[in-house]
Amino acid sequence: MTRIGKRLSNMYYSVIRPILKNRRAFIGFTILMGFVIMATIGPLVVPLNLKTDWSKRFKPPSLEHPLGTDYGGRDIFQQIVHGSRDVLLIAALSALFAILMAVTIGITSGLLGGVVDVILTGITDIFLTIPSFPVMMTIAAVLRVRDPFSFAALISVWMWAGLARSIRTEVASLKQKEFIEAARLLNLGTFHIVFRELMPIIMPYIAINFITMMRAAITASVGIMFLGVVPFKITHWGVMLNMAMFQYGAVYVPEGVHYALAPLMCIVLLEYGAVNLSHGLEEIFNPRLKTYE
Amino acid sequence: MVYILRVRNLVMEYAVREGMLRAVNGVSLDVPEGKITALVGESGCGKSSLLDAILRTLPPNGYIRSGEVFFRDINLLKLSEKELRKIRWEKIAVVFQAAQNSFNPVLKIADHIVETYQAHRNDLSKEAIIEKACKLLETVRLDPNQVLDAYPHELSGGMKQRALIALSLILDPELLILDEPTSALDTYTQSVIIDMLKKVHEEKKLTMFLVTHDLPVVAELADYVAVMYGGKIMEVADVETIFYNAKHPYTQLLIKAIPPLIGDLSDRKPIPGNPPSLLNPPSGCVFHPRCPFRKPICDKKVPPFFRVGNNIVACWLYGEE
Amino acid sequence: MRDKVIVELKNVTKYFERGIIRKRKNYAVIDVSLKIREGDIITLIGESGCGKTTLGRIIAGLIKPSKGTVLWFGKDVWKMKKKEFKKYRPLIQLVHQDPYASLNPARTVYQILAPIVKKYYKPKSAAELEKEVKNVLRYVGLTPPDYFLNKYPHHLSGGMRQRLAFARALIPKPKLIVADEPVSMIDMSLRLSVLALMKKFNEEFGIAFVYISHDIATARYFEDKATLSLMYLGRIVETGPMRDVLRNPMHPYLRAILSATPVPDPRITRHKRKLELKSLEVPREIVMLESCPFSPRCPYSEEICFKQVPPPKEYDGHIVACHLVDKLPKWIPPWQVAV
Repeated sequence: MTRIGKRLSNMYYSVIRPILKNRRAFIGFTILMGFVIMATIGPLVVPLNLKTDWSKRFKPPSLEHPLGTDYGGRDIFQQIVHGSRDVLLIAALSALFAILMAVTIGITSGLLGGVVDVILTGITDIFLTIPSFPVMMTIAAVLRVRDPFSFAALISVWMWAGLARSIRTEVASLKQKEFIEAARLLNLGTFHIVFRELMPIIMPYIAINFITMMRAAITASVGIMFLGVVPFKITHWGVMLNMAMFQYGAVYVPEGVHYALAPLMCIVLLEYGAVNLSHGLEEIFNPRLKTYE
Repeated sequence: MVYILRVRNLVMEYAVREGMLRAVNGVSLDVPEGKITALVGESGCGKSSLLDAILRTLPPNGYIRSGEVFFRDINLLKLSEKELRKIRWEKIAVVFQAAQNSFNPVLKIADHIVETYQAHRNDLSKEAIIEKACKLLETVRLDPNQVLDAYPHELSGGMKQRALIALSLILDPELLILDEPTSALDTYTQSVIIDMLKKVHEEKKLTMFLVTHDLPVVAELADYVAVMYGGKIMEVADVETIFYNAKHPYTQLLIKAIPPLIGDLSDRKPIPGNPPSLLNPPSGCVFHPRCPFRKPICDKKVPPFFRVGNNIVACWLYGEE
Repeated sequence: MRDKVIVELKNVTKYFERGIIRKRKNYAVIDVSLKIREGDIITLIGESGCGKTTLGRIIAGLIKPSKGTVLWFGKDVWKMKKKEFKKYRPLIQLVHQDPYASLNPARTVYQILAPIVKKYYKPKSAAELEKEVKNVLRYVGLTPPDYFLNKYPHHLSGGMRQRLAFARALIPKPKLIVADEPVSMIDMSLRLSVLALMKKFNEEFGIAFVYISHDIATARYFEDKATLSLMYLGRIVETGPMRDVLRNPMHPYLRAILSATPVPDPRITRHKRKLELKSLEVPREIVMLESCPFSPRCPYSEEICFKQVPPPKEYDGHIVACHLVDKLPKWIPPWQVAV
């Protein structure tokens, strides 16, 4: 077998197979995969017709409109599919930025120790104690955040601190281990120690946190939009919810309830998938995490 | 010969991620009363698991699949927790490995001894208990004045180990089980503990069951030796027979693999191969992959015990089906 | 050149400071001087807490002594510039005691060895790199190499892991390997194979060893050419060629240990005579800097032992730190009994 062939097969046995075998991970993975497909291929397949047709207001789910119509007679299913892209994009980007920050700060702080550690830990603590949601909301309103990247950046700033702390602690304790000392004895260098010794160990932990952070980001972004602070795009589920609740009284009109339910159910389902996948991954990786305690 | 502890066909497994790990694979063992019996084996042979099974101190993922353990005529595996507690410490006392963690760090040694006694019986006053403890501490060559008032962290490892042995004797048990009693102690302290165990055995005629990987210690202490490998008993014999006239290939090779302090080095060799996987044990005799004397039957059928002179051996070299 | 000195220690002392308000000095190593030449095998024997691990790490340049100098190839290690130190660093290696902790659990055998082989052998292609890694595995007896390449440490037995740790230490072609209790955590039936590997390194590559252990019996494996240095409470109390030292131990502490060590022979071990010590415990108080460290326990101790640190003196090829060497009774091996 070639080198790449061996690598792929290693990945299959150590990552993919355990996921397929663990029930929770499998459920979570399937649900998330479903949404990813919806977000990537969906908007290419499903058209978006935002023309209002008042005659079709609040129609219940039917073959033509699988999830019914909204206050303006527009198809809800189309909006959900197109909105999923932004929801997932913001969530993934937030988690990505947050992880990059947490890993950089955590490893630097844990590995270097001393003054650098004290300063970075202090900064981390500040971000940990500030109540994230109200601050996020305020900044979002003031700065008029409009595109997914800025939004993701904003959310990520308040998410990285917890993970940075755990990584720092883990790295500080790993630093003492004999295999790190062995690497030093062999002059392998800091780059090697960070990327070839430490990262493989904390990778599972990062992966699990990625999923958890995505979930938190969904809650945060949907929450902000739901409160009407940021009028993003009409297709974003948070905005849909906002409009359903506050603007068009869908909750009060029995016929309009599906307008609120659709985005709500999607959010719940997505978070359910994320929770299951992260718990499943924890179960899979935990015994391994334990072997070097 | 009266046997104080009899194990019959004990099978014990751990549930691990990769499947079921069979740590004890049909072990039968008899511990004679009034003697010191040693169970010898290397790491992973199942001896610690066997102890856990006998004492019912299994972790949550440990299961006893079948077998019986008789203390005199009581089947220990069938007792309730309450009944078991009456036996533990009163009839069977245990000194675990690395005594450091067995003492309550916030209690003085004297208080710990008194509490332990009173948890089981209330026939002696506190003063009487302390008096008994003093005598026991002297038996283990500890100064009662120094030790009774001390906290565990004030004593050295060797002192704690001896205090633990004294504590185990406070209720006059009939059987003393010791799990690696001399590991993590330096050579001189080890020899002191060995001497002390011999003395206790002589004075009280106490039956001892010693579980260890340290063959030289076995040579010093034991009357009878059982050799364990891969979850099964390989050979049982008295101590001189085991060291001078072992019949099982594993025992013979193991003794040859120990670097000796005195004597000829040139015929010492390690045992080729590696310890067996307990998830997928070898078929037939568990030692056959490493055995230089293996025959075709060895990888097909598990050998039963054969009696050969003074030895009881589980090996196809000594019998037919 | 056979007589070239690789590492030299001159009057090395190391203490650790404990306590926040009342600073106490915990002496791990006291006034140790030694020379290690190419191809030497030095065994450091002692009980737990005697300082042998600390001394080993000082030799390996991992701990800075509180007093004294450490010379590598004639140069003061702690006065070198970083660049120079980097040059010498791979030539002095250390193998740890615990084969479970010295290997990264998240890396396969290949991933552990490849970066090191790449750095020191500079192979020209990925195929050549793999070939060299396999060669290393074959050399330490992990065959067939293909079986081991993709295994993680937890798939290997203790003996295999330790071989891997030695393989790793071998790659930079070191002049000296400090082996800190390398077989203590391995099964008895496999210990000889790891000891044999060390002997092979020494004979085929001329690598010097510092073998640290509490078990004299395993150190005996090297008795053909090794010296035995016995440590007690931070000091080296006796040094000499191992065969001679074991045949004719002079220091009372060595005599006590030899007579107390059990041997796997019931008739001998139960009838041997033990040298009784005055106290069973190693003193936990502050180490005595002004007297013989063994004096409280020594059955022969006299007044001078409590007043003056015995200077190391040569007797019959051994170097012994004891005031009373001439007065001690002749050593009769405790195993000389009518069996």
